[in-house]
Amino acid sequence: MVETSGVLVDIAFWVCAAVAVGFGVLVFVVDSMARATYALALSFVATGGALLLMQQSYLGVIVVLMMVMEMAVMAVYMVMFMGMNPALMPMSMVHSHRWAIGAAVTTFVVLGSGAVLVPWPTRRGAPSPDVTDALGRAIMESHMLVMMIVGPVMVATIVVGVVLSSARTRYDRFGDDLDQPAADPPQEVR
Amino acid sequence: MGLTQQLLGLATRRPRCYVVEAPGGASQRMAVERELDARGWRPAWSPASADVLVVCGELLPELAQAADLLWSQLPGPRARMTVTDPGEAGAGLDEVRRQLTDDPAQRRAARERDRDEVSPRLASHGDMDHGEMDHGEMDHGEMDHGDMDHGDMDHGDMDHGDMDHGDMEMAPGGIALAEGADDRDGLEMDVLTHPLGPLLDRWPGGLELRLTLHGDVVGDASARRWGSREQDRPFQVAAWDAVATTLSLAGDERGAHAARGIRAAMIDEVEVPTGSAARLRTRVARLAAWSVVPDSVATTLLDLTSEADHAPRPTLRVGELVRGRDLADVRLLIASHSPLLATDEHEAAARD
Amino acid sequence: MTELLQGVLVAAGIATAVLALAWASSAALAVGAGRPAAMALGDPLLEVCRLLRQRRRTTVSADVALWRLGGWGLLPVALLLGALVPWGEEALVPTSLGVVWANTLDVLVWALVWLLGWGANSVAGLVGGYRFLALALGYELPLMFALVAPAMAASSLDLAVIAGSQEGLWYAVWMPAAFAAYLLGVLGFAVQGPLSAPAGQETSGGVLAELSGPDLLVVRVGRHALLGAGAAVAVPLFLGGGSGPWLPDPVWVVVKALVLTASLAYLAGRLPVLRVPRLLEIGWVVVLPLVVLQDLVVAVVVVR
Repeated sequence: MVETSGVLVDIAFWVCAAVAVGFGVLVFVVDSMARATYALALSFVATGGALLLMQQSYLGVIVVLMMVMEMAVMAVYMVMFMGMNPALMPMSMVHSHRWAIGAAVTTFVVLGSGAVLVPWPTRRGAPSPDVTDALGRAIMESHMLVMMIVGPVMVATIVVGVVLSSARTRYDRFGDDLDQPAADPPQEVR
Repeated sequence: MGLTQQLLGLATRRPRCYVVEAPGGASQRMAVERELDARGWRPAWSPASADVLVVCGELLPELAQAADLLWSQLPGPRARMTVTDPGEAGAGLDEVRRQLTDDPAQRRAARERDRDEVSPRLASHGDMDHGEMDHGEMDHGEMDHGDMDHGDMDHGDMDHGDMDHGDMEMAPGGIALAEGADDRDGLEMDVLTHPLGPLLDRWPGGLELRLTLHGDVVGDASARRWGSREQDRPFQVAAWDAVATTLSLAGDERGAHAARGIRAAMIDEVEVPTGSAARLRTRVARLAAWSVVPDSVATTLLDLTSEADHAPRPTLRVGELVRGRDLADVRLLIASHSPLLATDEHEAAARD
Repeated sequence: MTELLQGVLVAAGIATAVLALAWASSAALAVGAGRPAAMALGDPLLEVCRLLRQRRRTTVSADVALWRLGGWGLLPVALLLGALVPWGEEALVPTSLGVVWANTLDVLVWALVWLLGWGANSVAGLVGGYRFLALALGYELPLMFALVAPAMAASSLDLAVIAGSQEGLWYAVWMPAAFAAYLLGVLGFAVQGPLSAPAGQETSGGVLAELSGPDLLVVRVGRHALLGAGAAVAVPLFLGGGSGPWLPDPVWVVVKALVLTASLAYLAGRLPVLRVPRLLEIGWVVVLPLVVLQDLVVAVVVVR
């Protein structure tokens, strides 16, 4: 039974790997921003699946969760910035591709050879029963307060950034003392 | 077979009707809505999922093409009816239901339709003669569109097939790509010309509104009226009709139903149930307070349904009304201001 | 072999339960909107027959692959949510991270509804799809913070453990802000009621504008199924799971899910459709701080 499940896990891993790489390539091949974005999303989901197979359940599900959310928002920005692409027209997704190919191949060779050639130590002991708990403690136990604060600070930074860059804010809607009734529709920039 | 017949009966028990008003067809439309309410048939909100196209009022020859384009949007099985006499709305609905239940006829009609309309799978590039098909996108100047709401992108079954991209400049499917222009915030956004009307559900008949959209915000609007001046009807009927239409568009079915009841009482000239009008007015005010409808919509509706004796003259320019609003608000604004809109044709365009 | 058969039977049961919840949601929503109850109960069957008979359609240059993916993906997401709920002792897919998986599934809806709007290549669809993303930014953060509260109180992300740790007092009672924010999130990812602007009628149905026949049917079923499945997930999270006198656990879970679905859908039918900017304001300025405060209260209680 253990052997069968081992074979199944191997097959599942190779499927995830093939999907991740295949859809990653598709990102540069398809003709539409939306398709490129969601091909990337599927590639990330496959990576999350591979993490699940490595028994890192929490990391795997977080990868899937965050990547789908990010791709949904990214699709909006890609369509916004890419001009007249939304039609299914042939388009080129790459620029300065010679440098990029060189850098990508070099990075792959370095990391891949590191993964294959480094003498990994043998496992001492067994993984703890609650892998998520152990992961959380390993990452955060000594820096719990910092971790707790970093999250809200990042959210606040994003919100403040958007507010600072916005041309039309509450003061345009409610007046300088925020006491006038809301303008509907919102006024032009004052 | 018994089961097929039973399923067919279930499938056509309450068909969804897409009700459009032709110029001068307001009383017919109200009669149709009354009939639909009485039978419990919910109207269709889009022709793409409708079974029946109901045209209320007499259709002008210029608008026949528009109605045909709407008709081509219905996927089928489908039926069509024109209501010229308010009293025969019920009989007409019975007839369309019978037509929908007639399965062999529907299948025949579907085969003929597939043969006549060009399908992308069957047609090759060389066979298409763009001159024959009126898709409107090619000639923006003329009024070739019927179903305005779906704008330039929607042809139902029709497709221009695979275009050779090298031949024409960037026009996938035969539709030119949008150009960019600055919107109200100074950002360069694609410009989309989106027509609404002249035939649309819950829309004054014959009003063609051409919107220039940046995203979903209206940058520019020009209006045109097809058809003659509407027949005179009591102003209060038009006022409560505006309330009913607006509430229906805002998604408040309960309120819309109540407003239709008051409207029916006004048409029949019977006593309106005490307090119902006041309750509905409070409801409209509350919707504005919750920001469900824009403030101007609620203010207008409350003014229209107030007990004032005089009827305001219809002089409002549509273009100025909708400039700077977003697409959804446009529908609400037009519905709520419909008794006040100017009815002459060829209105001047409102510039940004 | 018997395990496989048992699994298939349980899966079929869950699918039936989710579809039944979808039916309840549809009927309750219609009753809330003013339709007579007899008609509201019969409408789903009539609409299924009508739409199965209707022909499919497409538009010019529609991105058909993405369009159909968006539409047909809603119901599977609802079924997967149903598979996470511990209907008896444990769920069909027992996992120690049920809360996070539930969150992941409802984020999938972000992608699906946007694709549904995008794929149709129509103004109404695009407007609906973008509105949905704006709306999602408003309800998703309160929803995620609301999910933190029961997980903190039970010290676990496992739905079965959370359900079991509500002896005595349901979480819905002493975490009302989290419960309300969660239900708002359910309405959001089901695109129903006050948060149904992406499918709103002022844009001719928004993301639904260009759909017909079976494509429209799966989207409508999917929306109601998402509401039902979201309510079913709320049962172990906030309503004590299968606990209750006399009846066995699975029955209680079904009963609670049904009652919650019907009540939520009825409320959704009664409330008007909120405009997107309004919901963003309410979501970020009112609901999110309340939920964070709720989390603080829960944390204090747990630490004490």
